[in-house]
Amino acid sequence: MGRYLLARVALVVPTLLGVTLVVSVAVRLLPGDIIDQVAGPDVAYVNPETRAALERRFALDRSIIEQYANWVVDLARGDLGRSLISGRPIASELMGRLPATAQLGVMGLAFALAIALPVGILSAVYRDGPVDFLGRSLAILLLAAPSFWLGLMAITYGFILFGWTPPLRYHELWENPVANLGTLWVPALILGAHVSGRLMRLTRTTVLEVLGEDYVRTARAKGLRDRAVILGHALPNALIPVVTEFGLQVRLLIGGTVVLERIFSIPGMGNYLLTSIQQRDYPVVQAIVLLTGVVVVLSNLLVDLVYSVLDPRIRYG
Amino acid sequence: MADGTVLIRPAVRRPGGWARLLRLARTKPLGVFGGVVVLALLAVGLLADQLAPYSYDDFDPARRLLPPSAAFPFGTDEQGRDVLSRVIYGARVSMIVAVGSAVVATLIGSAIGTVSGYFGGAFDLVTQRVVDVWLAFPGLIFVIFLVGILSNSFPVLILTIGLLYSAGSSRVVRGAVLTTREGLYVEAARALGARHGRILLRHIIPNVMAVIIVNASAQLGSIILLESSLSFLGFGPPPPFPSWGRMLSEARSQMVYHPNLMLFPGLAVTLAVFSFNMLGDAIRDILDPRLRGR
Repeated sequence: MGRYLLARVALVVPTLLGVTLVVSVAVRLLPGDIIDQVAGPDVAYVNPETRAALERRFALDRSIIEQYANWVVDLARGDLGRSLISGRPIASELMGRLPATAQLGVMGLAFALAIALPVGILSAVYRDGPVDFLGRSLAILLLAAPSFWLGLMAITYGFILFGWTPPLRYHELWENPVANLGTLWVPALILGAHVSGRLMRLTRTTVLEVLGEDYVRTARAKGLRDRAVILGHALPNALIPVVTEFGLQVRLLIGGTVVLERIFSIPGMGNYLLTSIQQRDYPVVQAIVLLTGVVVVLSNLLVDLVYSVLDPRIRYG
Repeated sequence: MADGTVLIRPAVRRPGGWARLLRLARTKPLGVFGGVVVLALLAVGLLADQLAPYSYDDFDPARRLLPPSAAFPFGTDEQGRDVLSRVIYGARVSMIVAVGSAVVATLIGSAIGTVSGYFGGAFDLVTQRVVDVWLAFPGLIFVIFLVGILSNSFPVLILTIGLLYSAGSSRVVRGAVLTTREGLYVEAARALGARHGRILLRHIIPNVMAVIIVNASAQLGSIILLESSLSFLGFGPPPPFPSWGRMLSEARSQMVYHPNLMLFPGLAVTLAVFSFNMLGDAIRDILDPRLRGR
């Protein structure tokens, strides 16, 4: 176990290098560069000397691998580089946008768990009854509706019915908590609703599966009450696959924030990523993908560890 | 013992096809509903040319932004195109991308997951690290990059989305194989001297088949969602093919005054995903031997 853990931790860095290498190459293979994007249709009038000077300034005249190697060397020194567009250090650009995204993700997750676990368990226990029917319909409806559509509908009907529009100006949580939560609760609920649909389904199926196991039958035969059987015997085992799925959920959550931030004009990482890809601001794209990569890799690592603790049958050799 | 009872068991007529279907409809109404809608969507996608009252590209400035009426049940869009016809053709786009990508993802993911989970060791460690890289990559961005670099043609979309989902499939299948290979029957087979190929084919794969199928059927819905997000952001199947996501994106500029433009394509996505997931749930309940007959 100790060795396995060490091996996994040691692999975090190569994994992240793999992710960033793929993204650095991919983003540079996209047609056009920052000069084309900023100049737009006027790019034909950019004279060759100016272009060459700009390319030198942005290091675009080097090979892709050289650019990547330099980026890694700078990264090792703790320097994420500067945005090609704003010229400001990327670290400070990210720090300004991270809180909104993190808050959206955490709030979404909280909504998801609060909906998914109780409904999923009840749905399994009262299988094929009205609770199950309603719970599953709800889960699958939540899972089925695209979150960008729900977001647009919330804005459309929020305006038509209540005259509500998402505030144009974003406030930080510590700056103006009321305005901040007023902006974020709708997208967070939509984000959480989607994730909860998956978690709810999974909780239901795994609880059902476990309820058919011998040890649950034994527990019932011993005369334990339903409550004790479900919470004490079935649930801990049923949660194992739910935990595995959880690693995948984090990725979903990150993907969901991209579209929702765009629709609700939240100045977060997702919005910044889309803009940076559009503007071919290579180092910013690399930095954001690195950051999301760190979050995903660490949550996967955590999932694997929790997995082996929850299910002793799984041994990592 | 088990064989002996078969010999003396009286010939009981098992319920025929229709009776079984009826029983299924009673016990799994949502699953049957999902199955019916999925078949209907496949038929609509296939027969779009016959079913759609207008072409998906029938511009007419004279009839732009009409409300729903008998002639245009879902109304018309900004360019005077019939929304119902576009929703119908949208089903074709969704079905092609969803089914194609799910097949690609399932084939690649199951192969990797089974081998990785069963043999473990160095192969497992290496492939799972590649899967780690894959999974650490934001999915939407992965597709946006590849579509941007190559093209937004159907083959590129299907292969890209398939590759993207294969990483998740391989994880899920590997997890199931990890638990299955510790089973007593696998140990027994091994003790009897069965070779790896036989253990995989006879014991492991049949036991994780349910997981593979459930995973694939869950992916179908999620792929439809991804395709609509991609189209919404402008990276979906190329125009003039109407996809539900692009219809939603086009409806955005009109959304407050003509919410119906947003309503119908969104409902279509929701209905499609809902039905695929319901069908998947029912398939799961039927396939999983631990759930069968309960």
